[in-house]
Amino acid sequence: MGGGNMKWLAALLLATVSAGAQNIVLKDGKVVTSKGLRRQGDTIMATIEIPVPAIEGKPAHVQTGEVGYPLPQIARLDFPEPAQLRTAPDLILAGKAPEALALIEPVVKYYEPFRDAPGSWWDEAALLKAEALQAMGNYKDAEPLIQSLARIGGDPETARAAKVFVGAGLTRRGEYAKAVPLFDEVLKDAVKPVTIASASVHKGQSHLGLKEYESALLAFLQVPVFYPGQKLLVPQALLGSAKAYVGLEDLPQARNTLNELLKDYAASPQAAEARAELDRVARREKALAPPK
Amino acid sequence: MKAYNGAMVAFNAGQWNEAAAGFEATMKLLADEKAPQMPPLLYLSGAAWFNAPDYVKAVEAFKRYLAKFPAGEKAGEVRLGLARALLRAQNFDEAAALFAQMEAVPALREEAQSAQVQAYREAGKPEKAIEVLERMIAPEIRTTAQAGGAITLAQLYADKKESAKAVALLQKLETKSALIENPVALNGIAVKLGDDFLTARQFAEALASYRAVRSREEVIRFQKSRIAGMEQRLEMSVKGAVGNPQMMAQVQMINAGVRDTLEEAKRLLEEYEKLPDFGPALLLRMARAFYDWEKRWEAIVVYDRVLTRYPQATEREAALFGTIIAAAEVGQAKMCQRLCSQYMEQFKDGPNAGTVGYLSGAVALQAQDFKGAENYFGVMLEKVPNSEYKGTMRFLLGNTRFMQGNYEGALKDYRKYLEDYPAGPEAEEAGYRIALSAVFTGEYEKAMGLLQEYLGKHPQGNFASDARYRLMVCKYAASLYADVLADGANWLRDYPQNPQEGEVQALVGDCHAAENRLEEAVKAYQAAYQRTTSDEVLNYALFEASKHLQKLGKWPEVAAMFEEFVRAKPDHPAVVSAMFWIGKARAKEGKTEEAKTFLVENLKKYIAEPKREAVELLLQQLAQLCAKRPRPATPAATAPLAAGETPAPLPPYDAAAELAKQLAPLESTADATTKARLLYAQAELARLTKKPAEADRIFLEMAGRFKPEELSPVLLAQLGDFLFARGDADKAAALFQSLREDFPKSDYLDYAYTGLGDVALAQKQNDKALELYTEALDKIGATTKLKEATLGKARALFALKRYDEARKLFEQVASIREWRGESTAFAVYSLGEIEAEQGKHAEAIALYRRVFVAYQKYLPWVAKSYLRAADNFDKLGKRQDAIDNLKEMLRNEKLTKFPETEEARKRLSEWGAAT
Repeated sequence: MGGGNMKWLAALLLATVSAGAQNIVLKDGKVVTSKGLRRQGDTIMATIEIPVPAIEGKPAHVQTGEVGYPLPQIARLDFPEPAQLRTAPDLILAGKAPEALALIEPVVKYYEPFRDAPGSWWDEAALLKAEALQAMGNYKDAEPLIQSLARIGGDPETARAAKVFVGAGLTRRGEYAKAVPLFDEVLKDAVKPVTIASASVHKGQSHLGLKEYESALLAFLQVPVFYPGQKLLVPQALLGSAKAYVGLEDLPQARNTLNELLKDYAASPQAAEARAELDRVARREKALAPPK
Repeated sequence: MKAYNGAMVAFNAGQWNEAAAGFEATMKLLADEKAPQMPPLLYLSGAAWFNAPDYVKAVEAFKRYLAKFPAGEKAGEVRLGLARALLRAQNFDEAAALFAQMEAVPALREEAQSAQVQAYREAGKPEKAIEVLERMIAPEIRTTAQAGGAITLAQLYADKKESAKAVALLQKLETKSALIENPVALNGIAVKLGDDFLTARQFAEALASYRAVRSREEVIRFQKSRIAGMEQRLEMSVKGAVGNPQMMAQVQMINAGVRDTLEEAKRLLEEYEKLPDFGPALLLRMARAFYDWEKRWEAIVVYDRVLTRYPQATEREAALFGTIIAAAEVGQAKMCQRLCSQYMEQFKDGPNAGTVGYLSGAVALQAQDFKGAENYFGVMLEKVPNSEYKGTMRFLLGNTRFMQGNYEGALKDYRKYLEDYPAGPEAEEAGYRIALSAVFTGEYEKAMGLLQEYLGKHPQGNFASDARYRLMVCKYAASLYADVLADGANWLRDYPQNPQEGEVQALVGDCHAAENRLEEAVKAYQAAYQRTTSDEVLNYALFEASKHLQKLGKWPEVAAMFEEFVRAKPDHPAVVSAMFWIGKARAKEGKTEEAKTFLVENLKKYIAEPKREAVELLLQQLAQLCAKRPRPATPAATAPLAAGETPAPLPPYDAAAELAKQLAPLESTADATTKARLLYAQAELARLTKKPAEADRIFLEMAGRFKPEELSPVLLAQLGDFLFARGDADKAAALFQSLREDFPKSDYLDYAYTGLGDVALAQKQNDKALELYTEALDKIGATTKLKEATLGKARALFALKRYDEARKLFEQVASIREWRGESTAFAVYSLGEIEAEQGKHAEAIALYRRVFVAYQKYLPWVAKSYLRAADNFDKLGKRQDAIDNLKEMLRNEKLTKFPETEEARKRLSEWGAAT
């Protein structure tokens, strides 16, 4: 990554973390338009502009001041969606997890004080950060973040997403049988496509570990069948389903799936493994072919 | 003034007709048409008529305003009001033209565009509506109005069959779900588009459309929140305009549209809530799209969602049936059977019960699971007595029993079939199989009658050739050789090129042999092995021919026959035996060199192909031929020895040089595989000439020089074992791994699984070792390594403290006569260890004693058993017995060099009983 790109990243960060109106929507329906928000204990302090009329020769002008609103009175904080939430997944998908991490970290930091307030983008940003860390193989830093998400995540769906990460940790450690029921629990209640797709991919990987290829395949295929829009997870699902096909001795299908992965997600972190898997399939095909 | 005040009161009270009449009356009182009071009066009058609603009068009032005050303060609002009134008065062209002018005003843009669309659609001008909508959603959908426009546009595209554009829009809308106010309409369009695409077999597009459909919960949630929002907007807008008549006029005009939309939204929601959930039906459509796209597994995933998410849906039956069909097509027999059982439990009387019943058995039959098939067909015939496949199932039930050798059961089924379906499609075969059952149960006389009955009915039937052959078999059993020979000749005339010719020829050979016509027998057997397609007949006929040729003393013919066989079928398992006979025959003739040349010629063809596993066997044969000094020239060629004369000593024979000479032609173009195999031949020779160190040296050289992928299965297996025995577990594992991965059909595969199990066990990966040994035994069906795999599994179970299972296996090893030897000693010792581990010291001692009494030859186990027996005596508190046991051990001179002996001395010293 050249210096030019880094400058672009920095500019984007500056532009979007602080951009846009940050309104407070109160439970009585009133909307407070603010120039900025900060947290003070259980109160959200809003910086607002107060127009001051011309008095005694002084021209009319605008004065800024802070007004505090206790959290229980707030229906939601109306932050604009940070652009990084859309950009970072593409970077991870392109095998640029460190860049994604650099992009998302300031967002996590910015929303940290509001993480338990409705409308905060902390959950989404923190999940993406965990995703980027895992893509870099940095499980050590991902773990505490995931635990924090599970503990104080703003909504039940975030807690489910965190549970998926916990299950993924079990899968990585080879505790497949323990991981599967965890994913099933998530899949029972999850509503967000990203949560369902993620749980399905990791569930598939656990079944692969258990050599339960049919169950693995059915789990992986949830993603391309129902959630093809989850671009970050599709290559993982394709790679997993190719491995399951190999396990089921359906080598032509495995080959097709790997080729699809390499065609549509050539820059994904899974591409290298897909190539290796393709070699394995070729070896297997050769091994199963009759002598010349 | 009074009229005006009255009109305002009426206006504020929503009495529009009175208000309008009041404003009209007030205007008439004004002398000057241009009076400053005139514009607001015209505006309010138009607004009142609009709300009344009397759009024609509203249009009149607004037009008057614009004609007299084109630049008036409210001219903008009046234009908008006029356009709205024109639209409602169904004057679409004029309304559209007016709204088009307003597009330039940013605040009015969306409404102006929406109204134009409505106008053009009402006027039957969809092209114009599309133009406006395409402008409306460009460059990005950011508002609810734009999202609504996009839905309408998708609908218009769909109507125009511009499906690609419609799908692109649907996909764009998927990312804008927060902006969608009318998901019901969106769903309708998406489903219609999906169906159109599916009909056109554009599967990806069909699926993209179906995926855009919102779930019932989402739709209801959206609609409710939208209705609440509209109600709130109405309330807030009226509240905000109280006390401001002109603003109220404007608000009421806007609200009229909102109210219409609100009523429509409520009606839609009410209707929608009455409808059954569309989810399962949509999933069935998706599944069909995947299935027709030949993506069967994906179809299974979708069907599965119907089954798991909609436990009460009526579509479950179709989903389960669809899953069964898809599972059968992807070759998942077990999954298919499981689903068939599930179907029969849940939909015993379902519309597809007959097919499912048939499928469950048919899939088992296809997977060669005859017992399973018998069970399924039997159960299904009972459960689905009216199945359309009843006849086929009855016939196949007979076949499954027939295949399992249950001829009596099969006969019943075939007879039942013929009773129920005398002219059924399987009637001929059923009759034929009835006769066959008699042949296989040895009831030849009865069989002859039945076969003749079959042939009488079906002289040109599908099974006539086989029936005639079986009839000959029965006659042969009755020693009617002449009849068989006559029938055989007729058969061969009637069925030239028939795949059964080999069997008939072999039977003819048997008849000639039985009557001692060996020359004729040989001819028939030779014809049999050359023409048969069955390995069993080939082996039989080939070796019968050889036997009779030998009886006739025709050794050159024996050699020639086997040479021809090796050339024709170089990979046949009988090649090695053939080579043996070629060598023997040529040696009988004093032509060992010819045998060697023949071997080398054949090796040239196949030595570079690692999968040809017979190559190593040919090399062994070659090494064997080279190991022995060739016979001297025939006695006739040498002069007889004089009395007292001793024969001249033979020149020294160098077997290695002879082998090198033979292998030289193979070396010229040798690749790595060939080179490794040539070394293997040298190692074999070293072993045959009792030079084990040389053999080991060559094996080590092979291990160092070649990569696993350059070696054949035989070499991977043997080198793996060799290296593991020498303690190089990692290299051995790499070789076994390569054997497992690259040669999954090899006859030596049990070496790989057992070897990898040994490596895992040595590395204390007991679970993995157990898995590998179990695979070796159950999946691979270990033969050569059966003993090692069984012992390995027992050791792994022991290491995992699964003592009962380990005991059973060790007992099995100890009880097999063919395995008697060191493995028996080890098994008995291990049985002692199992008892000792569980604190059963007396039982353990008995077993250790059995080792040093019954298996004295296997000193390592004897030494260990003495020591462990002493340990267990000591644990029982019998120190003196322990001491006596160790002293007995020390008296055994054969054990002096074992480390256990040193350990015994140490213990005796500790116990104050040093010798």
